[in-house]
Amino acid sequence: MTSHVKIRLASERVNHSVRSNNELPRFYTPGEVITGMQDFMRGHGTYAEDDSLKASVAGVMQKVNKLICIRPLKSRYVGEIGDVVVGRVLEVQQRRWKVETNSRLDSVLQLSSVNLPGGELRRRSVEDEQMMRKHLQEGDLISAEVQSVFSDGSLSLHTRSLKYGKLGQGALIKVFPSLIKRRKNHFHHLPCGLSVIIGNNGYIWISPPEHNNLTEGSSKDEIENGESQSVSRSDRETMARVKNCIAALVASKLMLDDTSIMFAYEESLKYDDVKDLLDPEAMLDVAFLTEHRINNIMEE
Amino acid sequence: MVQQLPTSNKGGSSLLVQVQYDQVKEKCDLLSKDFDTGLESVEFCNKNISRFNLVGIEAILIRVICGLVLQNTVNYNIYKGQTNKCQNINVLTPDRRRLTFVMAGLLLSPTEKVFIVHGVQDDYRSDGRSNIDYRPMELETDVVSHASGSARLRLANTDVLVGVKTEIDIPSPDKPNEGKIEFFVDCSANATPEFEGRGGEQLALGISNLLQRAYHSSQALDLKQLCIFEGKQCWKLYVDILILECGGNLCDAVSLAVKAALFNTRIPFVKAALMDGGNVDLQLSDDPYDSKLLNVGSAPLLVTLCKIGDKCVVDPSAEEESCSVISVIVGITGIPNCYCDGGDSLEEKEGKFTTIDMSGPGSLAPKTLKNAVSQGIIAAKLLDKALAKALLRERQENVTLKKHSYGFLK
Repeated sequence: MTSHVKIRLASERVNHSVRSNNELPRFYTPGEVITGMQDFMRGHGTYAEDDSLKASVAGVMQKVNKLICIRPLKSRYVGEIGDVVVGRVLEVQQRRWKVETNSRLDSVLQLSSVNLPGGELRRRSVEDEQMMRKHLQEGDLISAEVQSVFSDGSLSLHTRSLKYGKLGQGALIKVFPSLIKRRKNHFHHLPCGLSVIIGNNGYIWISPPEHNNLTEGSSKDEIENGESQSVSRSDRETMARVKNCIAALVASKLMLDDTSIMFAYEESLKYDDVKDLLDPEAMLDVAFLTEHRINNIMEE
Repeated sequence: MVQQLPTSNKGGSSLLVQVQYDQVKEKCDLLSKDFDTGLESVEFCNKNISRFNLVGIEAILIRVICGLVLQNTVNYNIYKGQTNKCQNINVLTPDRRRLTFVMAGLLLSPTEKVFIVHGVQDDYRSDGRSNIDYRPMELETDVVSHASGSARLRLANTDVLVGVKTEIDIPSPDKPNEGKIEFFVDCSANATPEFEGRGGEQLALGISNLLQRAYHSSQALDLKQLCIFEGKQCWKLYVDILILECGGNLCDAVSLAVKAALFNTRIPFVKAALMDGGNVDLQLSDDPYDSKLLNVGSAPLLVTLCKIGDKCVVDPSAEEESCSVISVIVGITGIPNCYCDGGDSLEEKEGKFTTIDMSGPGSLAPKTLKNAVSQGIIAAKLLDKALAKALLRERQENVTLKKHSYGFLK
């Protein structure tokens, strides 16, 4: 039985860095001179001053031929077309929803870019607009895809596919968007039974296995049933474990995708009690072992 | 005055207890008269109420009021009895305001709430904790070099810095042999944007009042140890609390940090005192090590119990806080034995109940309140033991090694 309260001292603070070799890239801070201006092009995250190129954000340099960019480590989500995002509905407006997606400006989901539940065809009528809140209301979580990016950087989303739409029971984890690895697929069914949506915007949605079949084909009653059913204890435990594993990976700044999450999950199984994973030492241990396994795979 | 106002809420009769703080003196007779409805036995050991033997819900009510009003801690011991008299209890603080800790603006979808509520029902929360588990905390004492004592506590995303300052003051005439303690809370706008301007003032005032009430008892913190010269001079402790980051469960973190800072506080010895007519001129020791430590073992800790569904949880996360309509904050005195070396073998004293407050718009059924308070007592005991262990360990480390400050940088 582990204790319910743990108070550690500052002298026992854990350094979450897991990089063993000194392969850390050069880190630029805002205002730092990157190079002379002569034959380089100014990219994102940089500005020109006094004949030299300086960083405007804290991050690492990316160089494409003559173009120099600084990629910030912590930033809001900068959307790209085709990205999978998880967002929360903030407002119901005329023919559209305002969605919070961790970007600088709130995103927009047009009524014309959703499929109604049950595959019902939409009639462009006033009643249809009045039904909007029945479909998605304030606070609801959705998964969606970025349809287009407006000139001011705000995103237009769409859910015109069976895999997108309203999310049921589960837990949301917010991480830095820069830690999300871009993949072909961001919807995963992990071997441990859970389904995970790793949004490009840094929002990760974990849901228990039974409730992942909320497709547009199922009837309304089924959906409502699934929304109020209690999640079983074992699923809950697995979800908590995955959640804590992701937190451990984030604390050590490891990239997140289905492989790293699954590796972390497997490594964490040696801790019987899920709440032990809240301990910094355990988090570091899990992150370190995961990093090690990923490196092994890369070498092969 | 203690007033009993039956109000007709929907869903049964509800009893609203309002307490006017300033008018109530230590008069037990008054209390017993006002609660002369269906009490089976009222027993007062002496004039200073130290123990109640009451039955049923009135017992809780009186305890609640006593926790607020009387300057004495009350032994918390509830007997089973009839609880069908009233359905809901509201506790109003002396300033008649509810504390609000719940951050506005955090939206959750109905299904997320269902998930959290079921989790609490299952005693298994979304990060694997049970209902009485705290998240890991980090503590450092002696972080502010100019203060007599200081501590910094970080609990998940909540960050609190506490400094204790000592000053010589004249004791109040009604308590000539006691020192003084005063709390001041500052909500930095860095903590959350809501504290900007005057946004944090209400909360700051609420917390400092709550602490003042919790410490306002001879059994909570013995203020006699702050006496220098009876009736003439005493120490006054200014406890300044700075909230650096606000990530839920503020009260618990603040009370832990305050206790740690008081534990760390050094009060200089008085070398000589010159009597000049009625005035006393003190000469203090200049050597910082020539000082005494306070005995803070029994200082109270606050425990917030957040009611989610039918159960209460400690240390709620921001998501969990937004699922609940009411939380109860109880102040429980510490266990002095834990704070001396090798004191584990001694008999443990039970924590005593010093204050209660509620935050949020809801109210509680008597049974839930009873459960919440007993859960709070258990949680406070665990907290106190962990805190004592950490503080003693740090003190030991500092004896052998030179003090190295870690501060805020990770």
